[in-house]
Amino acid sequence: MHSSGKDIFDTMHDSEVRSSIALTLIVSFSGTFLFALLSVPLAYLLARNEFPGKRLVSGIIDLPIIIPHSAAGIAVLGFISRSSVLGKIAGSLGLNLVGHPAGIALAMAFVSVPFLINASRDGFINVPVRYEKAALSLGASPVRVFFTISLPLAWRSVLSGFVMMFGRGMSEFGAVVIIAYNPMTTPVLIYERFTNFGLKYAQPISVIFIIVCLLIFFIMRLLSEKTKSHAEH
Amino acid sequence: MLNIDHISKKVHAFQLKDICLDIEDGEYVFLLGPSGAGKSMLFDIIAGIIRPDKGEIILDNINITQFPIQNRKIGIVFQEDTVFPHLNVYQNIAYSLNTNHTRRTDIRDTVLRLAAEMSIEKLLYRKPASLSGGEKQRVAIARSLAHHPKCLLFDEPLTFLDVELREEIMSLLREINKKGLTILHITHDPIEAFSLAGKIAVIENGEIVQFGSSENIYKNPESTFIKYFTGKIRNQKDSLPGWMKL
Repeated sequence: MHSSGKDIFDTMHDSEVRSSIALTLIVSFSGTFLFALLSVPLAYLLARNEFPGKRLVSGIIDLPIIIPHSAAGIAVLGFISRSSVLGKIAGSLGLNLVGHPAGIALAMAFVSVPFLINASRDGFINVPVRYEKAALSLGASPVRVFFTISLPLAWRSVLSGFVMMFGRGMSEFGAVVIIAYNPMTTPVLIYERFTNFGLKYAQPISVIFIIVCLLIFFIMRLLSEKTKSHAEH
Repeated sequence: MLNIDHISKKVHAFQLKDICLDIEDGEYVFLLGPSGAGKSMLFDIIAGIIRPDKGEIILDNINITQFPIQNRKIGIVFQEDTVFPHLNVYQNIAYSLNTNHTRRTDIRDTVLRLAAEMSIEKLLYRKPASLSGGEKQRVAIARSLAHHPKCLLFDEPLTFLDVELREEIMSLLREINKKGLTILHITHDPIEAFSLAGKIAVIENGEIVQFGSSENIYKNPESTFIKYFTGKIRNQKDSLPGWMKL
C-alpha cells in the first residue's frame, strides 16, 4: 500500500477514524463475549452428545460461513427489524437495533460464531471423557466438571475460536453495512472513503486498521503463550 | 455391602447375563476374566457410567441403580491415567474436598495424611506430566480415598506398570483393604488375582462361572480360563478359548 508516513499520521488524528476503530473493537469483542456464553456450552453439548438431527444442527451452524454475507445481513435484519419479535421487544425498551451498535454486534457475531463453535467443539472432543468420569465419581456435579475439567483442558481451542470469531467479526463488511451504515465500523469507513474520495484516502485507514489487528493478535498470542508456560510448571 | 443383583445388559451381539455377586463390607474381591468377557461393562454399570437393562445395584441397602455417578459414593480408579493434567498433585487429591465446601485447614490435613499414606508427600506441588505411571496411580487412589467412598472399584490399575511398580501398588491396595474398605478389582491377570488373595469371581462370555475364595478357585477351577492357568488343561488345545491359542 502506497501511503506516506504523514498520511498515516494525519489519519490517526482523524477523530472519525479513531472512533470507528474503537467502535469496531468494542462491538466485535462484546458480540464475541456475549455469544461465547451460549456458544461454548453448545459446542460442549455437540462434542459429548449424539442426538437425531445433529448433522443438521452442525450444518445450520456452518451456514453463515458459506452464504453471501449480504444475505446474512438481510437475515439478521429480518430478525431485528421493528416488525420482528426481537425488534418489538427492543422497541418497547426504546431501542432500535437497526443502526445501533447492538445490531452491528449481532451481525458480526452471526457471521463469525461458527469459528468459535467449531473450534470449541473440536477442543472438547479432544478432552478424554475418562477425566470427566473420574471427576463425576468424586462427587462433582456436571456443571462443576465442565468448569473445572472440560473447559480448562479445552481452553486453548476455545481461546483460538474466540480470537478467530473476534477477528472475523471485526473485519465483517457485508452483513454490517446492511444493518448499519452509521455508526461506521472501520471496514464500512474504508469503503465510504474509497467510494467518495478514492484510493488515496482509503489506504491510510486500511494500513492503520491492519496494524491494530496485528497488534491485538500479537498480544493475544503472547498472553496465550505466557499462560501455557505457567500451566506447564 | 455391595449387592449386584441379577444384572443383565445387551450391547450389539454381546450380553451380560444375570450377574449376581454379594460383596461383604471389607472384602477384597477380584472380577477375573479374559478380554471380552464383560468385565468392563459390569464395571461401567456398577460405577454408573451405563445403565443395566435389568437388575439392581444395592450399596449399603440403598438401591443405587438409577443414581448418577456423582451420587454413588463409589471410588473409581481406571486403567488409564485419569489424574487431571492441569492440576498439581495437591489439587488433584483435594478435588472432591472442594466440592463439599470443606474448611481449608481440613482439606490440607486430609491431603497431607493421604499423601503420606501413599508415599507421595514430596510430589504434592508437581504437575502430573512429571510423574511416573506408579506415582500417577497413587495420586488417583489418594484422590478417590479423599471422597470417603463406600467401596472402591479398580479397573485393571496395574496394566501399564512395570513389575516393580506393580508390587508396590499391590502392597498399597492390601493396606487400603486392611483398613476395612471394600474393594472390587477387575483384571484379566490370574497372577494378580491369586496373589492378592481374597475372593475371586470368574467371568466368561458375560456370565459369572465361579465365585469363591481364591484357594477354592485355584484347587477346583470350573472355567476353561482358570483351568488353563492352573495347568489342568495344558494339552487340550481344542478346549481353549480362541485368544489362548495364539
